[in-house]
Amino acid sequence: MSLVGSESTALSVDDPIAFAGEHRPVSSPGAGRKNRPGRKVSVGIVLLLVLLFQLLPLIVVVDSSFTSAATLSFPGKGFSTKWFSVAFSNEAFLSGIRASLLLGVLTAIVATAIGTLAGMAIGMRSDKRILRSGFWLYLLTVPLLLPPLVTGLGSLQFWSHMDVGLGLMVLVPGHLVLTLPYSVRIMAVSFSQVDPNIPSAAETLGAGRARVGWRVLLPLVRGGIVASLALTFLLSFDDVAVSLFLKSATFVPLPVVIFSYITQSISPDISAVSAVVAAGSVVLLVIVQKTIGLDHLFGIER
Amino acid sequence: MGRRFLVSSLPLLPALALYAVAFVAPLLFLVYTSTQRFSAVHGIYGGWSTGTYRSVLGASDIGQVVFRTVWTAFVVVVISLVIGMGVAILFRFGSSVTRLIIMLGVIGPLLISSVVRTFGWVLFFGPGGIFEHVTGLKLLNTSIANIVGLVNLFVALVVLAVLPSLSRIQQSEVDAAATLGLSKIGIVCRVIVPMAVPGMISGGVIVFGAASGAVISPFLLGGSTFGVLPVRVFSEALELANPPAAAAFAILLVCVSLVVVVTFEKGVRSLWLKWDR
Repeated sequence: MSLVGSESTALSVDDPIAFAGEHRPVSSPGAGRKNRPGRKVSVGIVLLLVLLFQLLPLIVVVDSSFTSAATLSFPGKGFSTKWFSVAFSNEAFLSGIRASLLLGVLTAIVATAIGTLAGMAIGMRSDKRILRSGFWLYLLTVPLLLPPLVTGLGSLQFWSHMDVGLGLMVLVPGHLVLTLPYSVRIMAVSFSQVDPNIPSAAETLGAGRARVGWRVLLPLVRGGIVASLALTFLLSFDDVAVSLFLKSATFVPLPVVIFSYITQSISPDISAVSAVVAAGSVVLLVIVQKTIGLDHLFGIER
Repeated sequence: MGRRFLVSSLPLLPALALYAVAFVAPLLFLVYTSTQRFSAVHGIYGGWSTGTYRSVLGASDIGQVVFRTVWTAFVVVVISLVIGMGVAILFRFGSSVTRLIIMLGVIGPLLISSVVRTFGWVLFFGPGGIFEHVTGLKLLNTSIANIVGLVNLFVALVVLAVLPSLSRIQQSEVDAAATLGLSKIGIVCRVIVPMAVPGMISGGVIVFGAASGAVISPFLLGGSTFGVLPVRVFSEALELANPPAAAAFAILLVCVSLVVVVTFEKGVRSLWLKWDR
């Protein structure tokens, strides 16, 4: 009887079978009129299935990267970390990582700078000229209407025609077009939440326009800036469609390297480098969640 | 007012300048390229020509390619809407733990490399993968693998698109419906979903655009010769080195998805208005 929890003891008062010491689960049909626990379980199972579906490809990649066999399989055979050392002695992967990091950081900084300016122009006037600021916000998100593939192809043909060499110098503008819409949206929302009395108070106290912007407004939208930096970096790091067209022979972002390796031959070192990319993204996501919250990044209202 | 307006619009200039150079000009040039004479020997040489469009639109399989592009994206939209709505409802009315799990496990993967995730499906469906081992089905290089991969990439976009509509539904409205005797399924079908229709439309449009324009997933999961427009753009541009044909396919892709999206949006909106009455 001591093993039976307090809920069952409470039940046992008007339940002769339980009173006799037989354990009956609380959620059985006879336990009560409420079917909440059962429904909760089924909702939980559905959520678990969706989670499994969303995370399955990542699980596969991570699992297969630890294989000790020479060919890829899922589930992987044995356990070894040798493919990580193989991957990290492959110059193609290493230069791909360097290229993607450089491209991602440059894109994030420039997109956030331009996005902060545009977001300020849109967000700060939202009180009086809603129509016009709505128009600008819409206009600045137009690049999202086209597949990145189309932007990438157009850029390739345009820059080649202008005799501009491919590589970093054209990849940055290409990725800016992909990421700026998100930065503008985040910053416009951040600026629209600033109390308009604060900058005007600062102006009354004698601060110039530049000083108000730098010392008063920027600290107020710090969360938006961090969100914009993180989002634009991750989007740039994720892109394949534009990079595929604008890469040069010596500057190939990592996703393109991975893509071309997959199309040639599949071996466990691709899994290893992919697992590292996924792990890096997860770490960044967790940091964002801990600092400003992912809902801020995705524009979800709390 | 004129001067003030100019000053307050000044911060928009860098963004507009960037778009002019890196977005508008390339797109106009794409249209230009597609109308230029081209031969495999001479490359692009002077003069206008409708030859590219005639050969692209006159190809015997073009109807099939367009249909497969639209159909695949449509199936992805439908599946994503069903799963995404479910997840969004759980997110809106769930506990903070549920929210955190969904945020990290369902929405978070949006920002994890799509080529890595697609590679995961290649391993899952491919030879040596658990799926073929257990079921005996060879799904790699089929539409099904492609659709699974695309839903995995884009389902979270539906969640993000419908959440603003769902957050407008008050808990008190749901409680009222329950008090009036609606079952949980009834509440979902007759209270929550109708209010989420605007979000579902925009989510559907976003996923349609993303799925019809995706190139990595069809190339790796559908096969390198998988007959959809983005793969055609890719192979004409980078494998066959035919810029005008690649440009023409890209423009066709944009036109097709534009026509479908506008028709779909109008159709669904008018249906919804009728149903609402």
